[in-house]
Amino acid sequence: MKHLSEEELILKHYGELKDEELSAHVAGCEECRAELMKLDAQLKQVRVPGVPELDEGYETQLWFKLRDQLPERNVSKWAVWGRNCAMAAAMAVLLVSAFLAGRQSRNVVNSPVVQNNQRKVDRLVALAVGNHLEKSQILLIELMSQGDNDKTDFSATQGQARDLLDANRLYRMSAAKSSDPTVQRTLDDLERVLAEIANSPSDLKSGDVERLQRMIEQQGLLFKVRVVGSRIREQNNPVPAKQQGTKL
Amino acid sequence: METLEATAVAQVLSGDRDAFRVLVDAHARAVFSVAFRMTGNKEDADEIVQETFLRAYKSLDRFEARSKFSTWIYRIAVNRCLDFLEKKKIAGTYTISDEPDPEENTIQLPSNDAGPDRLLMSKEAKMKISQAMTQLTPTERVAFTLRHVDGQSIEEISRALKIRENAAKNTVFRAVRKLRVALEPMVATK
Repeated sequence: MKHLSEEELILKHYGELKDEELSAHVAGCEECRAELMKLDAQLKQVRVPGVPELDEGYETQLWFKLRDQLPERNVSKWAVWGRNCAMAAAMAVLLVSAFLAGRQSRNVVNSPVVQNNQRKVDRLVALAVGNHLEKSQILLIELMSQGDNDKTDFSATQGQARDLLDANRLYRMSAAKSSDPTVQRTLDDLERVLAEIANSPSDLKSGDVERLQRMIEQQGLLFKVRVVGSRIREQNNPVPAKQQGTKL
Repeated sequence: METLEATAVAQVLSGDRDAFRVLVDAHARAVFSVAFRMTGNKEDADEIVQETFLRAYKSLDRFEARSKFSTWIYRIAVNRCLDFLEKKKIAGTYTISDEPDPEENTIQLPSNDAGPDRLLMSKEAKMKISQAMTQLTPTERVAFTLRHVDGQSIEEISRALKIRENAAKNTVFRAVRKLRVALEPMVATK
């Protein structure tokens, strides 16, 4: 049998020689083995520099650079509806997975890799909750600034409240497993108000608006949402170590 | 994690720009690593990371929900690297040094023995590798790095670079051959 070509040797070096007959030939052929060893030695010489360690706040710095460059997306109502359904389904799966993972983790050794992955997931969930609270805060502020005689269409606000309500239910269930009870309590309070807004008649009378505003005020909800939201954002946005010399 | 990412993708597509942060947060470091391995320069890698995420955001509606976001963004990053290298023609800017410095585009050679003969040979080897690296085209350099450093299979390289499997294979062969020619005398004298 003829010896392996250079291409076949390269494939063998990288473990991609699929032909078993050729692989068997290398094992029994001194000449091919010597060629392969030479190739191995040559390629071992080539190394690339190690990746430098990045700052702890690298992701945050990157996000601040990116955020203003991201264009607004034009989305149709149907597309939004379809994606909201997909989002709700995805969130439901997320919660079930988190629940199952939680049950399973009691039986799994807490290796650094597992802990590290868990931290990463926690951080991503916190980011999502922070984003949710920020949007809820905007909705509450809009509602609080509504005057008695305002005749604005309330249906858009209700639509937003319904979306936020769906998301809130899932985040609240997720927060029930977290060690921070404040987040869960805030999401609890928020859910009651969002449900109230979502289920109000779309042609709101001034008395209805006042009732909703009183409800928000009595619970100090706007304050709570603001405080918890900014705390989550601060925890996930450590002050970048180096702000200078960044490329835009 | 993947479900959270799927949720973030759906949110971004429905107009929530801030949800993109979840994806940036999850993949920024991995994308930086790819970019740094291809360019060997932190600033260039930073630029590629930004371009990669911008491209991903703009073409997010082409992302198929059943695929892994990490694979998708990795491919975008690889192609950004290729464009970058072609644009800048920096394929040959690597130099060799005893103390590899990520800021200085250096490649480190193994130095188990500090004897004078070895040092002499090492310097010669460095020169030769350096010359060989300058001869790699951007595609060869990217394909070689994907195979040699990232451990990607020929099939994965062909998908990442959107070329046929045979073309990917030949690109890797050409890169290895060029490096071998440069390293041949060095290994033969060992």
